[in-house]
Amino acid sequence: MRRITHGEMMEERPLIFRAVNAPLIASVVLLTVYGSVVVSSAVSSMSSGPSMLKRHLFGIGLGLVFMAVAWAFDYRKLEGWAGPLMALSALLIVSPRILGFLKVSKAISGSYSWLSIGKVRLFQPSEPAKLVVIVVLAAVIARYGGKIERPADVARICGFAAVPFVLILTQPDLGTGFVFIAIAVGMMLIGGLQPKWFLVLALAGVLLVGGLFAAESIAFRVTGDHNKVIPKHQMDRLTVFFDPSADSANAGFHVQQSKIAIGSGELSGKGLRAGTQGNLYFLPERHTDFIFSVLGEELGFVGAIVLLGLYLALLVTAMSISASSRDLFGALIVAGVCTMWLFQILENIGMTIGVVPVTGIPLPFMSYGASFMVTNMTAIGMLLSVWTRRY
Amino acid sequence: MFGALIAAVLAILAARLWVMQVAEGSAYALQAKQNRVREVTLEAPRGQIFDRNGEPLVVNRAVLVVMAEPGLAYNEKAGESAEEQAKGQVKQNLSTLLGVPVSEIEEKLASKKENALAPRVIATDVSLDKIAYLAEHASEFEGIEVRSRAVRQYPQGRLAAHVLGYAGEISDSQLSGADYAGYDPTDIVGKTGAELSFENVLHGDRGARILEVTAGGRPRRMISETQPNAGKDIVLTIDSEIQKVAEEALVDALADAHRNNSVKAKSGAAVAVDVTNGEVVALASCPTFDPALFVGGISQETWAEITDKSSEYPLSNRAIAGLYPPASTFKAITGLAGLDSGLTSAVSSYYCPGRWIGMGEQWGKWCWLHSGHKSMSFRGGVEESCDAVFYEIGYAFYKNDREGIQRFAREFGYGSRLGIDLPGERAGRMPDAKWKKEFNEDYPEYQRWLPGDTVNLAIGQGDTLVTPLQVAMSYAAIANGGTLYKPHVLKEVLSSDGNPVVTVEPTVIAEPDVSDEDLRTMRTALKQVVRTGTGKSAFRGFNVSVAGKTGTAEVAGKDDFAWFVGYAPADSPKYCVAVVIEQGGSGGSVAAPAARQILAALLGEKIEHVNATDNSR
Repeated sequence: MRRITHGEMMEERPLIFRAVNAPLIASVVLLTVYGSVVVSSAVSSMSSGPSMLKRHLFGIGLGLVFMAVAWAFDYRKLEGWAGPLMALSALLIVSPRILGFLKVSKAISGSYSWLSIGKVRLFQPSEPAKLVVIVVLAAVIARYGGKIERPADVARICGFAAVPFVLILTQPDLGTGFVFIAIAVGMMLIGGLQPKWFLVLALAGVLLVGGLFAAESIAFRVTGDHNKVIPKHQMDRLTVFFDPSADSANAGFHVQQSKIAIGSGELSGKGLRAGTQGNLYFLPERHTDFIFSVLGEELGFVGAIVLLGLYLALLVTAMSISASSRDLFGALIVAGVCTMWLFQILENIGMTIGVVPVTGIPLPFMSYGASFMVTNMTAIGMLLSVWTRRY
Repeated sequence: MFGALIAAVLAILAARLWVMQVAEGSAYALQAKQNRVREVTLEAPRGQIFDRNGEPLVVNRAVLVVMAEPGLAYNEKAGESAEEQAKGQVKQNLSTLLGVPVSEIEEKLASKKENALAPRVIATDVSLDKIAYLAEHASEFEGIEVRSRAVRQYPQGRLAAHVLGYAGEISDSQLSGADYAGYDPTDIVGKTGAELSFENVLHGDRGARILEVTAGGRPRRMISETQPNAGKDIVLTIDSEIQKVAEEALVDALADAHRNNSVKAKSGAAVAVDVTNGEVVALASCPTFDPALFVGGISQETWAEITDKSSEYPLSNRAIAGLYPPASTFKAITGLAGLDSGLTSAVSSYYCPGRWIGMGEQWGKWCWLHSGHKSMSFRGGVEESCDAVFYEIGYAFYKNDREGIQRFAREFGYGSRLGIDLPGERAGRMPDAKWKKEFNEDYPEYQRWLPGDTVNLAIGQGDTLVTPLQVAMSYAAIANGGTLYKPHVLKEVLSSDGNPVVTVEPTVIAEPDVSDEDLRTMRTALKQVVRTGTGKSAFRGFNVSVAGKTGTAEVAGKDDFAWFVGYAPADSPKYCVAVVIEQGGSGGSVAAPAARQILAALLGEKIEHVNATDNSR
């Protein structure tokens, strides 16, 4: 029996099979369908439910367009544009502030995270900014050829990573800020960061967070006012995370209700649209940030495991794409996307079951929200772009 | 390495989900259920009370109650949040509308009596214009609701207040008792009188509506409903017409007493019973009270007023709980005992010298008529209420059958509760040697039963204490030929369609062993009392023949208590009436006219108040 070489096999298959990564497409299709089903259940008891479901499906459609564009686009052309892309991401992140400054729009819930004109919300620019930052960091890290050893190199990469992080804190949106940190750390690890530097960075991170809290407490003592360094709602969420009984009326209440929703789903759930926690308004933001609570309540442990299984398939497939990339730049892009998703999955599901503090981070492919969906679809397009151009 | 990280993250989440959804799932499911399910109590109306002719005595009146969600209570933790301010505004609006201070509203919201999630009553019996304002400005009163609630109403005012009693919110001690298992802390229960006696019949079973509510507490759908079971209506043996006359007669009697210079007379009691079955037709106690004072809770001030020493205790039901020396009314019992034991007879003759010295010169005792009745027959002794005759009979008992009178009296119901279906009945006292020894435990020199004790007992003085009900029932037994019925006020319990589900049958307590002949002798003597004796003045011109006995009791440190007990028609007795006026003076002139009024009402005779004169005892 003749052994078929890798090259020969590819040669023998039509281009379409070489360009398409079937497991990736399959997991994304299943995830978006699954997400749409759960979103439709979550919005079913809302007065504007039908139009919201349409907007969700529109977001998926728009995301497919962006995916196609990103897929068709040769990612390698971006490698030399690190500087301008950096500027673009910075501009995206601060754009709501600029519009706010120009009196075109106002802060929403005390935060400038939406790009809006008047009362019309367009999209959250921090979403596409994540992808731009991933490309920028990939370009920067790729230059070291897989070995990040010198302090200056580490500092330089951290410098690039720090720009969007600091800017996002001015919105302020601490949750998304953590996503940026996760992306940077994940990409540096894939990009050859030595473990000792990882430890140093981790230590620095702990010190930074500790410093923020110290600054907040000093500011509180001096001015007698919260919100000086860390936004009050953010501080409350953290306080509640460490002491759930501290406030059962607000921040803690949400987590408590989410846990009740998920736990009460038991093994097989209460059935779609039959969740009482969601449909009777005990769950806050049940179609966006707390979509997993709806899933857990209505589809139970079985439904949750199916979702985790789909995520596992997505992430493993993505890692295999990263490994198959012809260049480090492509591999790093994929690794960045992978880290982003993994962190968001951990953070989102973790907060709904009370194992991490509450931040306003949605669940990839599941949560309602067009800008988030489009961003994730674009990321899929970038993964396919890397996959298609692997030879 | 990255693959391991992915696996680890997903595995941690999966493990946590397993714990929450599978291992601890049922606990969370229970919490979810408690979240969404609310139980709304459906009040069960309390049974109504009617008199024997169907006249309403106690009914229910629907009043509008303003209630507030407990969530409106001030939450210290929430501080100055917008939500807290909105709640404050609602409470302010409510306070302005109802005229209830905000502090009081907060107090009621914080009440621990209700179920934690049940709305709290803020105001009862709210006027319609205020309710209309609430309805029109619903948006300013988020969390406020109006409900209808039934309260007690007394169409006949104070009539029969002691029989009816009053109802009020269940007390903590009642709630913890076995009799009130299944009651709610906000339930209205009977506190005294028939309201208390027939609590288990009058009290309905609350219904419940299980609702599914949203996080905001708004009902979404009904899961299940249990209809409330209304309490059953009851019919009493009381006749409100007779009751009214009885209450008026007591007031008239007090006026008579005052006219006769018995200025300390302030209270009294009257009982009218059907001698053929023990039904209590009227039961009056004076002074009385207004049961409506207790609707919605009595004020501290009013309570203090009606329980103060100077108030003459209007809440006390003297007809069944007042203890008095029976005085000469007891001579019928002594006489019957004497006839029964052969110590006297219808033809026995006596001599009343005024001061009786049967026990020796140094132990001489006065008859009420100090000049003496001279020659007296047994019947004359009853008719004129001659003490000397009964001293003789008493002394004969002391010598021959030392506790014969007591034994006989007990058979007629004295010294123990008759068991009327009203709370608070007292047993009284039928003294004997054993009692005296125990009573004077610390005074050895007074422990011995003396001949004078029996002699005093024979004329209804000494240590004997009776209730007006006991006197009425014992005479009813004499009247009906020797059957002591158990007195009762409950006639029927009605079902929801108005038909009786329970009809109280006469209960015989005892049939004292006394011969018809002896009874006849006594009845003839009692008839004579009213015809020519001490009751003559009060019953002059009365068309129906009445048999009875006057009494004037001596009470240490107080003016004489006036008694009359009688039954009619004398030859085929139907009703028996007993009247006592505390410190009212002579029974023949004060109590007998009152009894006449009541008997007139019972027999359909002209009800008139007569001024009687009689100075006997």
